[in-house]
Amino acid sequence: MDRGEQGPIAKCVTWMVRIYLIAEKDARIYFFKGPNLTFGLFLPLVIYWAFAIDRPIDTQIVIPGLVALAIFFGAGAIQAVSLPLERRTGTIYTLLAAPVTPSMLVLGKALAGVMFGLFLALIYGLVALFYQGTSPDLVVYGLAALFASFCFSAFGLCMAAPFRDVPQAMPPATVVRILLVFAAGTFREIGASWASWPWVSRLVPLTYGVSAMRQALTSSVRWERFMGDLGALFLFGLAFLGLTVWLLESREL
Amino acid sequence: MVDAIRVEGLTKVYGELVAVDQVGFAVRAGELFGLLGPNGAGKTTTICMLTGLTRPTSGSAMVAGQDVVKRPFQVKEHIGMLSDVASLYNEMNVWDNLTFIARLHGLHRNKRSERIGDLLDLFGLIDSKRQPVGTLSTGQKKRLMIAAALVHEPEVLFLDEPTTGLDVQSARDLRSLMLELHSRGVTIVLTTHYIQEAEQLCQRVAIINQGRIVTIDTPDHLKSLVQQECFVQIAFDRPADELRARLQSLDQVERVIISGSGARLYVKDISEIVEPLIQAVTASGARVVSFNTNQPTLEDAFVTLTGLHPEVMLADKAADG
Ligand SMILES: Nc1ncnc2c1ncn2[C@@H]1O[C@H](COP(=O)(O)OP(=O)(O)O)[C@@H](O)[C@H]1O
Ligand SMILES: [Mg+2]
Repeated sequence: MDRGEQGPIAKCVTWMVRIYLIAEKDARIYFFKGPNLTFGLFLPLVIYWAFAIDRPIDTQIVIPGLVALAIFFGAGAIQAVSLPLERRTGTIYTLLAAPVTPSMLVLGKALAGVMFGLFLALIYGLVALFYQGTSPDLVVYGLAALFASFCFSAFGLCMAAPFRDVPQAMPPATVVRILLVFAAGTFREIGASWASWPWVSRLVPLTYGVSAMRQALTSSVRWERFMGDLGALFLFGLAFLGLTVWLLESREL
Repeated sequence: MVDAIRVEGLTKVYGELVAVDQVGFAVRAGELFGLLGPNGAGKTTTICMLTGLTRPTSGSAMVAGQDVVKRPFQVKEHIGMLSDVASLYNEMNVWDNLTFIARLHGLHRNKRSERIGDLLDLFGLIDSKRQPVGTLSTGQKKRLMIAAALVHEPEVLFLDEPTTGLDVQSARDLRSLMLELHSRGVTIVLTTHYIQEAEQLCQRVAIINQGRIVTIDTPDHLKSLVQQECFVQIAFDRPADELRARLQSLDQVERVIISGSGARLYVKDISEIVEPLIQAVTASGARVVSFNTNQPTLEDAFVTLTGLHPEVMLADKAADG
């Protein structure tokens, strides 16, 4: 291997390769581990049923809400498994003894969460297609899924960062997420104008995921608002990643 | 010769506790260097600082030509580490684990499989290459971890308590493996709380206790510091009294005690008495039926230098959490 100093571009490529390698390894090991599919695929349905009992179903609201929830729970659940498990088994020290910084580790794990989120979005997108009959705008749907996955994956990392084992990491993360589902007004009939949304919901990243998904899946994109949603998801995501790195570094792992 | 490691005033403070206190030493390239001390002495903390995993509170260290404090990240490209907390992915097989590590280090595809194959051969794991790591024995896992630490051909290898928790045979295999790596020119820093292991393997040993280095020297020189009587206990095929005069006439012998067919000869240095003694006995026509020596061990040196009872070295890791 090259032991000399690398130029900035070569360095960047090396870093990206390492981030990708970590994500790929996470995908192989953790995607199909116990709770991930349960949380990603079934929990959103259960929450929806609990919420929607005795109410008329409006697919225009329900389907986007479900997709956003699936990504919200799914992309986070894999983090609640992979990060604490790496610490409990000690594999994280093998990574950090290799030329991998905590930030690269966190970015790799975030990327794995994005991949899982996109996988869930694909499954739910097919279901949505089947139920709704209308064809969603694929590019818009893809963008919404990508940014939502990024934000919720980073959120999952942040919630998992203080813990060293899965049984400790799962419950608080799940409770917080369920609270946020209601704070975000995921299944409420709220109009296209922001004025009709409860103010707390604007502090919750899930809101922007739900909003983006509604536009994508009901072919009602209003670009200004859609870009605002993506921007909010991105900024929240960055903040969560920063917080995760800080949590990991401040705790001596 | 160039120093592979140079440490000065390295210190790590955790709250009130000074885990590592002003540690300094140098390790020559190709040397097998030991850090010997009881649990909690600060061995792991020292290794973690030298490998860029923990930031020192103060002090400096150069490892493989890189400054650990200023460039902890670059250091990692030049070193390999076996730590008692790190592990590999149980879910992946032996080959895939090593491939993953090799790719993280940017090893080219062609070189990768050759290197991994060679290492698995050397470590006796080639037949298990498709086995998930979770199904390996503890000894096999340890060997695999060392193989993983060597994948990128590091200049310095850190082994933190490699034989702790292994059965006798696996520990013995691992020790001969360390000597093999040493003979291939790898610089090795080994931590251990087994005195015999340090004595058997290391060219030089740093004895560390409560975060401080007590002394650094070769095992032989450390042993010679101990004021303890050396003697040879020898038995013949006839009453030893018949040889009394010959034994007493040997220059190196200070005192002789005869009992039955046995004799005990007090000497300064065992290595100097063996040859003249055998010659004298052979010349007398007698036959030696048994021969034992008593000389200070590194354990005696350790006790003298640290004031610790050797039993503290055997205290189980689990006992102190
Ligand atoms: N992360 C940490 N936080 C607080 N104390 C620590 C930490 N790591 C080690 N120590 C303490 O530092 C001392 C040295 O520990 P360590 O380096 O693990 O010793 P050894 O490896 O020689 O057994 C011990 O008293 C241990 O409890
Ligand atoms: Mg230790």
